[in-house]
Amino acid sequence: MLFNSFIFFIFLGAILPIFYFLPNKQSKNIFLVISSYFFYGYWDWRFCGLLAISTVIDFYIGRKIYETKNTKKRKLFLIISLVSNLGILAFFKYFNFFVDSFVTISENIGWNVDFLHLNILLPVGISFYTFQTLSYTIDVFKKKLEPTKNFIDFALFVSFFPQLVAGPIERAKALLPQLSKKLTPSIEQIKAGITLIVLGLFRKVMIGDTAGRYVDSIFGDLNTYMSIELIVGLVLFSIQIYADFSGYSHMARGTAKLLGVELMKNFEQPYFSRNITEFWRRWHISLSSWLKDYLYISLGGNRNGKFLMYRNLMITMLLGGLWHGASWNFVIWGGLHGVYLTIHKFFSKNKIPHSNRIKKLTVVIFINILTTYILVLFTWLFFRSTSWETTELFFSKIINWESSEHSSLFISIACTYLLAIITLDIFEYVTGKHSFILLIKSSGIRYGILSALFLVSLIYMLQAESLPFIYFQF
Amino acid sequence: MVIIEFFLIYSGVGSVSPNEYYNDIGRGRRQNLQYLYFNEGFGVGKFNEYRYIGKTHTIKKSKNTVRIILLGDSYVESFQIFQRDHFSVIAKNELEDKYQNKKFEILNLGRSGFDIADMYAYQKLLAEKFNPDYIFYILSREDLKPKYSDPLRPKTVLVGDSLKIKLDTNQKKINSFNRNKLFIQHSTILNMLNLGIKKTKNTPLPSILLGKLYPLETAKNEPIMKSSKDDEKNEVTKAIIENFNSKRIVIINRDIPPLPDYFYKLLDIKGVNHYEFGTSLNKLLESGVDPNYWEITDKSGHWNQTGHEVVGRKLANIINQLINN
Repeated sequence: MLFNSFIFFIFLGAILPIFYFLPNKQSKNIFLVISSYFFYGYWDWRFCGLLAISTVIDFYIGRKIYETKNTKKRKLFLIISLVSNLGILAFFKYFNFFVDSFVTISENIGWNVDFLHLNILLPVGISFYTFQTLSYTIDVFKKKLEPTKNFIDFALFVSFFPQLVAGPIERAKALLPQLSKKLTPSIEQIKAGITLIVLGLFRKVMIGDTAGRYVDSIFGDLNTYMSIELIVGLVLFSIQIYADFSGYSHMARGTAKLLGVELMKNFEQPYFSRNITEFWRRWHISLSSWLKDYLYISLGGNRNGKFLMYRNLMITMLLGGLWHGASWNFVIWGGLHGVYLTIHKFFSKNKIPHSNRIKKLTVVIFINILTTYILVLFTWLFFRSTSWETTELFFSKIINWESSEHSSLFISIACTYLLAIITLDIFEYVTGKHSFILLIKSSGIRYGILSALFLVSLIYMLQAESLPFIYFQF
Repeated sequence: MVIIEFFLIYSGVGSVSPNEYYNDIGRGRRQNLQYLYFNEGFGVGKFNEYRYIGKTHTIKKSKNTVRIILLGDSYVESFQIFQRDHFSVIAKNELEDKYQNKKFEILNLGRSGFDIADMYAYQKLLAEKFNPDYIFYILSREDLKPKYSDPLRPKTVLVGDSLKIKLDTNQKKINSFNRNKLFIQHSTILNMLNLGIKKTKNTPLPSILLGKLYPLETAKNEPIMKSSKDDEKNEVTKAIIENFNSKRIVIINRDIPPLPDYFYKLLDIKGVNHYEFGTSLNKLLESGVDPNYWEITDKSGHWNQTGHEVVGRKLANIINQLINN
C-alpha cells in the first residue's frame, strides 16, 4: 500500500478509531500486527510469510542468545540469525545479480557457462526490515539489549507498518520499549502527526512525483534530449529522490505519531551540508548510522590506524551502495561516496565539525555547500542510470554540447523546484522541527496552510497516476 | 494557495486550459501559449499567434518556398513529443537537405479530436489564408464521418446541394465556456480538479479510491465488431471530396487498416492524390518496434519518436513525389 494513495488514507481512517477504542496494550498491539500484515500483504500476500519467518527466527534466537552463557553457542546462534536473514535477502535481492555477474566475467575470460537465471520478485522493503531485525540480534549478542519476552511486541517491532517498507530503520533499543507499553498518543503527537503526514504527502506527491515525471522522461530516452535538458534532468532527480524519500519518512513518522510511537528523523536538510561527512550525517540517517554501528565499527572503524580506517570506510560505502540494489551502478555510487569521504577525512584531519548547525552563512560556507551539492549530484547520475551505456551517453552528450531551444524553460523549471525544496528545508532548519507549521500561532493560518497543501496533493493524486516510492525497490 | 499556484505554474506541474473561443474558428488553441504536456510521452511546445503549434509563418509566402499545411487529429497535433521531433520537422529537414535552393514550410494545423468535417472547416477558415501549395488531410477510417462532437467548433454541413461552414452561435454555450475559462485558464489547481473530475467519468471512483480492492473488469479480448454503418458513405464527406481542389489537396491514411473502398473511389474520381502511412508503420511493427508504444510510461497511444521518424521520412518522400510530378 502506497502512502500516496487514497486506499492508504481509507486504511488509516479505518484502523485509527478501532486502535483508539481498544482497551489494553496487548489488544492494541495484536490489532497493529494484523493491520501491518494487511498493509504489507496488499502488495503481495505471499511475502507476509517471509516477514513471519524473520520474526519467528529472530525472536527465538534473541532469547537463546540471551539465555545461553556459552560464548561459542551464543556466536552460533548469532550466525544462524545472520545467515538466515542475510540468506533470504541475498536470495531475493542478489541471486540474479551475482549469477549474471559471474556469467559475464566467465564469458570475458573465455569460459562458456550457462547458469540459471530465476525470475525472482523482490519483496518490498526486505532490506529495511532485515537490517532492523539484524540490529536486534546483534544488540542482544553484544549485551546492549535485553530481548523481549512478548512475541506480539516483537512481531510488531518487525512489522510496524508506518516504517516497514522504507524505514526509518529503527533500533530495537528505541522502538521496542515504546511498543511494550500501552500506546496512547498525546494531543501534541496527533497534531504533529497530521502535520508531518500532510507535509510529507506534499513533498512526495507535489515535488517528488512531479519532478519524477521529467526525470523518467529524460533518463528514459537520453538520445532525444539536449545537453542542458540532461543537466536539468539530473538536478531534478536530486530533488526527486530527496523529496520522495524525505516525504515518505515524514509520513512514516507522522503515522507512527498518530499511533503514539516516535520514530527517528531520517533526514536533516542534507543539501545544506558543508562537506560530504556532514552529508552522511544528514542523509538517510537511520541507514548511515546503522552502517557505522554494525559494519564500519565491526570492521575496526578508526581504531587500527589511518590506512585501515580508509579501507573500512570504502568497504562500508561499497556495501552501503550494494544495499540499495543489486546492480553495479549502486556499487559505483557507494564507491564514489567512499572515495569522497576518504579524501575528505584525509585532508580535514580531525577538524570536521560535529555540529550540523551553520552559525553564519558566509561566502566560504556557501561555496562549500554548493561544492558538496555538485559532488553529490554527480553521484546521483550513477544512481539513476540503469546501465553503463546510459551513463556513457549522458557524459558524451554533455561533452559534445548541444544547445536547446528550451534552455530557459528547463532552467526555470529546475530553479522552481530548487526554490520549493530549499524553502521547506529553510523552515525546517531554522525552527529545528519537521512539523514547523505547528509553530504558527494563529490556528486559522496553520490549518489553512495544512488544508491547502493536503487538498492540492489530493487533487493531484486524483488526476495523475501514483508513483511508488523510489526506496521501495530497495 | 497563491504560493502553491505559482509553484505549479513555474514548475510545469499544473497546466492551464489551452483553449479559447474565437469568432473566426470557434474553440481553438490559445494564442502564444507555451505548454508542457505529460501523458504517454512528454512534450513541450508553443501555440503561435495563428493558434497552431510551431513557429509563426507570415501569411505571405516567400519566394522559392514550398508551403504545406497539415490537417488532422491528435496524431498530427502531437502534444506528447517535442516539436523538434515532430514528423513535419523531420520531413522538412530531409527535404531541405535534398533541395538546397528551396525552402519548405510545413504548418501543423492538426487538432485533437478532428474529423474530416472539422478539417475541411479549418481548411476554409484558416489554412487557405496561408496560400499553401498543398493541404494534407492526414486521417484514419474513424475520421471519415462527421461527428460534430464539439458544439463550439465550426460545423461543415450540407445546405441543399452546397457545403456550408456554420459557427454555432448558441450564446448560452459560449457564455458557459467563458465562465469556466476564467477558472481553468488561470488556475492550474482548478484545471487539475477539472481533469480529475473528467477522470472519474472514465474510471469508477471506487476504483480510484480503493485500488486493488476494487478490481475493474478487464476488457474482453474479443475483436471489436465494426458497425457496417461506419463504412457507409456520408453525404457531407462526399460533398467535401467533391469540393476538393485535386491539385492542392492530398489525402494520407495515417493508420494501418486501409480507408473504405468507397472513399478511395471518390478520391480517384475527383483525381485527388492519396497515400498511406500504414505500409511504413506496418514495416516498423513487423521489425519488432511498435510505433504506438511508449516504454517509459508503459502506455500505448500516439506515435512515439520512432513512429514520428518513420512517418516524417514517408512524408518527405510523398512531398518529393508531388514536387517532381
